[in-house]
Amino acid sequence: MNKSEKHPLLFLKWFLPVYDQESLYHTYIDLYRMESEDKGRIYAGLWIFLQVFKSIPGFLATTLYWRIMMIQSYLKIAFRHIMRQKIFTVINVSGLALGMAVCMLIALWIQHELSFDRFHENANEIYRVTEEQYQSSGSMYPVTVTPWPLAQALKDAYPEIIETARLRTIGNPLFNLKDKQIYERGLVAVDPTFLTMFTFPLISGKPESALQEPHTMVISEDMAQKYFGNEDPIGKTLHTINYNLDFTVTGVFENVPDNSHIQFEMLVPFEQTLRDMGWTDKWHTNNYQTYILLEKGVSIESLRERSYDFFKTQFENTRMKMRLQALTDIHLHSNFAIDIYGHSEDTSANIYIFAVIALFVLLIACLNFINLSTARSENRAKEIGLRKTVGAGRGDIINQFYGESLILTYLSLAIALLIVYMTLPEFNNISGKALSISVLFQPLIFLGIIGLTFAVGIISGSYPALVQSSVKPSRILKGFSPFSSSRIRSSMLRKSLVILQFIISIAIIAGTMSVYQQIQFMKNKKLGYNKDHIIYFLKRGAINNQFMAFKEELLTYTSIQSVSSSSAIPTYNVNSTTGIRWEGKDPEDSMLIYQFSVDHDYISTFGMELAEGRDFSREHSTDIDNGAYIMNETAIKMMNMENPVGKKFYLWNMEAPIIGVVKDFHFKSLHEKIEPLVLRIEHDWQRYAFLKISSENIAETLAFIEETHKSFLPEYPFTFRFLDEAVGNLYNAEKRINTILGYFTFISLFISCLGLIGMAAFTAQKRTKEIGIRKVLGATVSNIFYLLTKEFVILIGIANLVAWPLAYYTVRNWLDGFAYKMEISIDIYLISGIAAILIALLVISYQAVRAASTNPVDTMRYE
Amino acid sequence: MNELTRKEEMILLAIYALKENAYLITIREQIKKFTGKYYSVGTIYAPLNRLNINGFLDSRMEKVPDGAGTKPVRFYRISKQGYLALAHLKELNDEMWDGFVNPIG
Repeated sequence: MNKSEKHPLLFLKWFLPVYDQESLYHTYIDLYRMESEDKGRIYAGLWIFLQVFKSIPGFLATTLYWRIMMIQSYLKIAFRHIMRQKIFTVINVSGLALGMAVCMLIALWIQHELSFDRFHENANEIYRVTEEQYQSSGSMYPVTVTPWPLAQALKDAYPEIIETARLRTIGNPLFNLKDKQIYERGLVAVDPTFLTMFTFPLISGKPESALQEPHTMVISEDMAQKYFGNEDPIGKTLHTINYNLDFTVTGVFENVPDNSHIQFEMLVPFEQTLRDMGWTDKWHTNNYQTYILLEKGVSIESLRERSYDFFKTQFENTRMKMRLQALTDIHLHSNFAIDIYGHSEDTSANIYIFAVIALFVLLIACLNFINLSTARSENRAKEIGLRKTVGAGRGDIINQFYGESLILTYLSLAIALLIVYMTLPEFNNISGKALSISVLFQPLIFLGIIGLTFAVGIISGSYPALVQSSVKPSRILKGFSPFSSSRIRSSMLRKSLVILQFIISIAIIAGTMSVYQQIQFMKNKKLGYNKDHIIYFLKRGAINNQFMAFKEELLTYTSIQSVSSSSAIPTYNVNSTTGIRWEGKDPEDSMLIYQFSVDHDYISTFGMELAEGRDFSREHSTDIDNGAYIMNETAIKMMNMENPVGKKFYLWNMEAPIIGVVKDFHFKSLHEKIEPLVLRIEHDWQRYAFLKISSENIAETLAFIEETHKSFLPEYPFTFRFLDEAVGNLYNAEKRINTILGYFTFISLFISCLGLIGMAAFTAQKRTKEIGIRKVLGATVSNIFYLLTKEFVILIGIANLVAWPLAYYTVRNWLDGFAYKMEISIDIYLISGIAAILIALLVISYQAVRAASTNPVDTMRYE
Repeated sequence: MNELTRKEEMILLAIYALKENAYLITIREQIKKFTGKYYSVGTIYAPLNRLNINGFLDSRMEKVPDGAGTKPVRFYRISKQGYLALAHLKELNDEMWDGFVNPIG
């Protein structure tokens, strides 16, 4: 035998299946020898090479065949195991599936929140200009509205700004649709550059030219469908009845996606609209949103530094600062007193909270799963011993356990996806979004999900796979139970896992109850006025001009108790100013005050109370036309005025005496403190009519009002709102959170209970012998019951102790976002703790009773 | 259909013909005698192994002298299950080919 012959062919071993490696290897050697005797070494070498090459498919097929056969047998065994312990499997899988489903839903939500405004091509180069207005009192007033000429001024001053676009929302236009009149929303005036700077794709029409001409308009797909059906809307005209303007449609754009911070249905160019609406184009009024487009690659920081004091170039003595907000930050990080649609709040904290909750729920579910799987597998020591005796290698056992674990985790994943699919509509309802499950199936994300599931499967299978497979068969079969010491450690681990689950559940219960309480508090809190049974609507045309007559007509109807008008609705008021003076004012002082214009019946219609002085009265003919002021208590306090009645007050240099002080009432949401307020009567400023109606026969009352409205103003349909609805809407965010938390409570409790059931059943099972012995020695069923449940109750008690401070701290933080909050009461925590204990007891007792009442004869049989 | 494949059939009959001397190299030679072609080791090994795993063959490893030392060689024999399968196969064939007259002669 020639030793050196072996070397060239040694590499063959790499190809050959393990089963017959040696004999196959020698087969090749023999063939090589035969060929080389026949036709020489070189030929033989080449020939062997060819042979091997041709054989590769065969060997691959063999190896594959092997693997598949093995997997088949593992699957059969795994399936048999699962069937044998159906209850455990169902509990395990459903808990994990639920946890995964919740996590995925939240992930979808978070992804959507983070995706706002990112679909624009220039998303990373667009910034919004915002102002920091300062009052001389020092407080800062951040707003997003800017003056008309600012855009051009910025473009001239900074070369890195290559484009700007302005935006302003216009009040609801009224259109004719077939034979009805409809108010539409989403009419926005923009610079023509808006279409080229942002990415709102046009289905027809060109972005560069669509808004160049005056009185042109681009409309959304939905609008086009609604008003023109299948006809081409380009070139057609839309007539707004209330503004008496015609617009020619020059383009149709795809419906604005819901993850854009600006929502609109119609765009019109600024130029003409400005004149039509009588808007100002000067520096002194801030009414427009300004966006800038930065050159690619230029640093925003440098521009921010340089533009910070830009307003000084226009107003020497101003303290107002300029800030540039990234487009992609707008949705989550806007904290402005005045924003496009009202005031905005930074909601980025929500993302973190939800992410944390999602991870926690997933964590609980996974821990549960691992816990139960591990516990379950301790029973199988005998089986492992047996299998090893008949020849299974350690590797086989490891593979088997990992295989089983992975099967269960992927099964859970499949069920989780199913759950997500089915609950998505409801979730969309609650969250106010339109999420779709297809996001989860994007290649990268899907891969990630599969990978994570794999990780969970591996981790949960690790204990049985690695630890238990090393069991020595001889010891098992002789009856020794393995790892008595590690058992204690693992049971400690398991106990702490259960505690953790319950901590989270209890904290969430307490949190939910707190949120609910706060909402109730806000709903019921005395606002300082009566918001019930008040309807309001805009005064238009004849209604405005002939309001006195209209009012008289209305008051003839007994169910209409009071009619008033005002410049603002007491939910949100933008009209504030620092242009005030008062008797005894220190010239250095400055104060921001809110102002409404009202009429004589305002205070009585809203049921407000006067603290001092008198109400506006028709008997004092000088009360009208800013002839008298009523302040609120806060205003008097902040002005440090004593005996205010009779003192002079100056609003924008209009002097008049203070005739009364109204008790503070909330004219903004309870998130904010009550600010100083002055009321006056100035007819031109009164936009809204408020009607207080009786609580009976509301439908008829409304019908009467509509009739009367129509008789004065037939051209416009009558629309109105209920004041308490409007007020309630201020707290929509909280209501939403409450619903979501409610669901979370349920889910996390459910999962925790699942874990508990599994644990309880398992321990009960393990201790059947012990119970049997105890019973023989005279223990009663209730003794055993007590014994089994005692342990768990202690666990939950501990969970409570940790959960209470945790919940308290979080709720306290959240409540700080409200200027007016309820007192945190102890009973919430007590209730949630007791609830948890009761639920847990319920869960455990079933198992405990069953275990306690087994006949000792049965358990002791296998000795 | 869990019938034997053509390759498996050929291998079984080759082993039959080889009596006690059936291993990879000899089987390969036998198939050359049948068909006139040499097939690669891998092509023969796959169905051979399958037959073995599924119990149609019995196999044993034997140490065969190889120059100064020994090398392991796997010898194959048709098992009872294998013979049953062959009988079934023959029957099936007879059934299928019964009355077949080739029109081309």
